[in-house]
Amino acid sequence: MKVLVVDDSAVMRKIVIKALNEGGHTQIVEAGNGKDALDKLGNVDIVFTDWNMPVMDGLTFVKELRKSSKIPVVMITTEGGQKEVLEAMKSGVTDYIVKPFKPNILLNKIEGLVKT
Amino acid sequence: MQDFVDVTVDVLVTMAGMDVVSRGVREINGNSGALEVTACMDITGLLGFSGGRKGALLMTMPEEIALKAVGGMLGMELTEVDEDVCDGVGELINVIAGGAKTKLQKKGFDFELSIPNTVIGKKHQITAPASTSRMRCDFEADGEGFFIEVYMKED
Repeated sequence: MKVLVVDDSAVMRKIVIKALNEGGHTQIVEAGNGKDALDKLGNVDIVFTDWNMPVMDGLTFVKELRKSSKIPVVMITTEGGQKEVLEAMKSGVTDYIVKPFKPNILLNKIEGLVKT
Repeated sequence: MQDFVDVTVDVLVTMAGMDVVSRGVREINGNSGALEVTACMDITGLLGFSGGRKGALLMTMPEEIALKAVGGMLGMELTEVDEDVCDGVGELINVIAGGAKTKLQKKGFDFELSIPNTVIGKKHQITAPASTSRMRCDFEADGEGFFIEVYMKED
């Protein structure tokens, strides 16, 4: 399974990638913002994306992605309010993780989304 | 303020695997000059908020705590303050502010957060206008102290 990890924080990307690697997911593509992510989409199977990013934020990225793809998108963000979660879901986000999070939740999300 | 304290502990425990305890909240009565001055430690994560409430949040710590915190996040031992440490401290303050914002939204307070900044340098200072209230909470992690301060613009 190929995973796209999108976050403007290199440390955050490393945290997510480390968790994915430990779960056996080693085909990882990284992007630092939504525009970079659109350029690198290729044939990824699932996306983990931050919300607040420069150049193109996560929400805009997801809206653009949804014009041509139905791949699962999990948003990882500090925006944990009900209003924000609803806005993300309406934009096409498949699932949501609020920071801080324990790394194993990423693997649980993949497992759940692959089954569905 | 307690929301900021609770989230700080939660974030450092969850993301960095640290053992953190709060040593109590207190109001800082600043100097009589034109500026409020916070005497910081070696590295500080700083972020502003605006909208319903205006102010800033900072978390300042000795280099050892920064290395342990970011090292804990990455699952590795870090020995010097590099790009990853600066990015990691910025991410920590970002997550703390975001978590506090979510809690405060449920109490009717809403505000926008700025992008986080990281300041590096031994014994640097952060200032704010004198018309600013300051609340501070000291913490201890692995025998070392660090603190957060919340500045709030007074109406």
